[in-house]
Amino acid sequence: MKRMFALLALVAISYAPSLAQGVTIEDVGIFSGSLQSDVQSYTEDTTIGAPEVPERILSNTFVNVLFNRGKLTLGFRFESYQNPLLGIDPRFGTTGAGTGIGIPFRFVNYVDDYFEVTAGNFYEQFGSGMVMRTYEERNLGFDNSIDGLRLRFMPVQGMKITGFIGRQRAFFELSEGIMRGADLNLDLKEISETFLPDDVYANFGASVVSRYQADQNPFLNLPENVLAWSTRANITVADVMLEGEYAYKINDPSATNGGTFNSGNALYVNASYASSGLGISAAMKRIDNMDFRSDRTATGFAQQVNFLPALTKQHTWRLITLYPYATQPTGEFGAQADVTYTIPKGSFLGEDETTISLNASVIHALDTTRTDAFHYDANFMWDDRIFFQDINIEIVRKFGKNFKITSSYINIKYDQDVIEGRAAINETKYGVLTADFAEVELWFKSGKGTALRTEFQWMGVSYQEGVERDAVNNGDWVMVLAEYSISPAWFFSLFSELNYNRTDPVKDPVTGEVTRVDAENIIYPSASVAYVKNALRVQVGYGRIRGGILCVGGICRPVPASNGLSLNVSYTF
Amino acid sequence: MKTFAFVLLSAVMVMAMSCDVIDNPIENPDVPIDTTTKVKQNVLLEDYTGHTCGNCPDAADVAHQLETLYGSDRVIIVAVHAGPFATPQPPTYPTDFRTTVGNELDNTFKISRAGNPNGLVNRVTRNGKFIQSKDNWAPAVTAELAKTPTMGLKLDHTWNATTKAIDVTVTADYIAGGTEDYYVVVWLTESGIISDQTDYRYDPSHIEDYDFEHVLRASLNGTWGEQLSTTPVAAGQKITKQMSYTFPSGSTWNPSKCDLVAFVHRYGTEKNVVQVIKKKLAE
Repeated sequence: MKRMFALLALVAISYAPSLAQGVTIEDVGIFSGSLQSDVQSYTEDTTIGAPEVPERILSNTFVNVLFNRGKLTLGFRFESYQNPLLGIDPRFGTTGAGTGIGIPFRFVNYVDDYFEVTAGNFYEQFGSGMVMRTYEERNLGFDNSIDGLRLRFMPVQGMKITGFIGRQRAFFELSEGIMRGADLNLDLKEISETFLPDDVYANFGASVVSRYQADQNPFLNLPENVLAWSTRANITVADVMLEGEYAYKINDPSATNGGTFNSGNALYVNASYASSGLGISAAMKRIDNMDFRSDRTATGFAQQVNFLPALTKQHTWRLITLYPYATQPTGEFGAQADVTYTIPKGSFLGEDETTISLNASVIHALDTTRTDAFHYDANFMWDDRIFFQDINIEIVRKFGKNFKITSSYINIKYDQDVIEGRAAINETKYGVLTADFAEVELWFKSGKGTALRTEFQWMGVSYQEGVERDAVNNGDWVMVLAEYSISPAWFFSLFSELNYNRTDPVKDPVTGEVTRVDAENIIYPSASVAYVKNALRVQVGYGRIRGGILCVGGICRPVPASNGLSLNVSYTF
Repeated sequence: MKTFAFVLLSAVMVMAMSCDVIDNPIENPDVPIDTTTKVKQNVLLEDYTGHTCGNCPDAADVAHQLETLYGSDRVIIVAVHAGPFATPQPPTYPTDFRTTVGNELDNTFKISRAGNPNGLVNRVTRNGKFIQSKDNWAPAVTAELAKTPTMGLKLDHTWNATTKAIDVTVTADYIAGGTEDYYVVVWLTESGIISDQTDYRYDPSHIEDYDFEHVLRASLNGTWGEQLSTTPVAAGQKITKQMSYTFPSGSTWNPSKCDLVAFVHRYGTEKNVVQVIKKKLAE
């Protein structure tokens, strides 16, 4: 029980960076917190499609303050958007008082041995999150915390019951729908050590989440109470782990599912094996109409209640991030396999370790047929159409303590029409593009506390015959990066992307036929300097940043191109 | 502790029962027929759109459906083309539907940054939302139409087909008292323009002969209009404003497809539209 209490206490305080920091006031408690401020200037740049920003300068600021004494934790977050940075939803600047300033997150939390109470805002996740996951990803302008009451009850060790009721944050307002939910989680090993053999662990869980939103539509009979449920299991036997979750949602016609009255469901299965030096995992996921929001009219990132993880590797190399995959909540069938092997020291490859990672994934469309204006039939198996495919290999090789090489090759197929939502259903407009990506990263320690890291990236892109291409981001790319750090205080970074082999469309005035002609190369330079002193970090930079899609943790949003200076300050106390 | 668990488990069971499975999605709207001649509250539905926005024609259809249901004299649509989706993209989307007024509105209300299609319904905040997505238009319009009007509007005008000059007189009839933030605006819109539009409901989604309706062409008196009175106005009073406008030289606007839209809004404060009316420019 003590262990569980410690765990829960950890969850309760995880809103703040750490309780190790903070200001202790004798006989009162501990205050701690953090500050993050991002300021960016914008210059219109028609070559890259950077729009004119009337404000010239935009900024986002977040300040967390937390107070803890024993079992009690209080906290709030101050947010200021003057106005929201481009790519962040502008409603952070227009809702509520309309000033972009407010305290949209505040809570009181009390944790005891057998129960926990939270009043105010909280983040919660049931299972893998397929019916319920609330979290903050401020760099994407995403925060779907619930404001209300949450109770947790731990009657015996290994058993946890959670229930909540409240409304979801909607920028500086609360969402129209009322959310209620409950979850049961059982850890058999914790309930009884003797119940399972020594190297067997088993977790089971079940959740229900429901939304109430009044039907005020004069044309349609809309469901006012929409229920979603899920059930899950996670079993580990020695080095092998098997986990699965199934979720179901009753009819929920919404802005994001084309108003269908079909029910929704999702299935996720993952098997993995891990031993020293070798890791293997294979997973499949089928999603049909599982976009769940606290407001049926919400689109984009607004008011998402659940989280459908992308079953593809999230690449971080800058060039390939131009084509990230985002889960299609209306329907997809995906599979992924991943193998990581570390060739130990002293093998035929010499004195140092070499790690090889192989990863492949493919996401297909669901095989569906419309039956009437409000319904469709979906087969369990997939359709031939591929939304996304990725085959990649990464090799990391160390040479002593002072030199490391990381090299990768990635090949993706990317259906721009579906992933970027740029065409009619089943229309081939931008088509499926193929990108071949290769990189070499060299890291070496050049002296005491100094290190140089360089990256060389290339990406070649090929298109289907006769399709349209993005007006700016088309053609091939190279990129060079150099980062020099003098720890613990200084970081210097320089990089430049070059977009070449670009083309522009030209329409023949007589025949109306569209052909493509060569267009100018575009260079995207960036530079930044960061200074760190204890918990303070200040970074200034300049960048001509290409437009594209920014993804964090499997959710993505379009970000327009920009050209300007940036200032980022962060501090924790 | 047992009570606690019992309460939680009961909550789960209650929730499991609270779900509405719908067998018949279509509802026949019940529109009360009001034949009285008294002043009614009309609705200004600003549809922020763009010709490369593939989901926008669907929203335009929702607006049209509401206009048909409640009457074009009561639901007054204005299509504001602004933002990245409205930028001309030659050679396939060459027409520039943007206007100075539309750009200023879009920059002020930050609509295209929030995404298109999106709209404003009488510029009111409803359930915490000022920007209304298309699925909110029906409930928001229905709620606005049901309100008791606080003002009547009358629009008289003359149109000179030779000089393409318009003279407009707007009379605001204060049914309830008003404040000094009441501003009157007169817009010119045009329908029946045929040009290129993306429409994701069709394959191919490039529609070459899309019919653009209610396109905002110009304002007769600036983006925010002019103040009706510098002091509060008592109920029962009438205030008249006059304005003139001439089509830009070389304009291809078809006067017989143009409408004048006059509305009073609360500038710089509550933002909401107090009353709106529409009149054909020329027969």
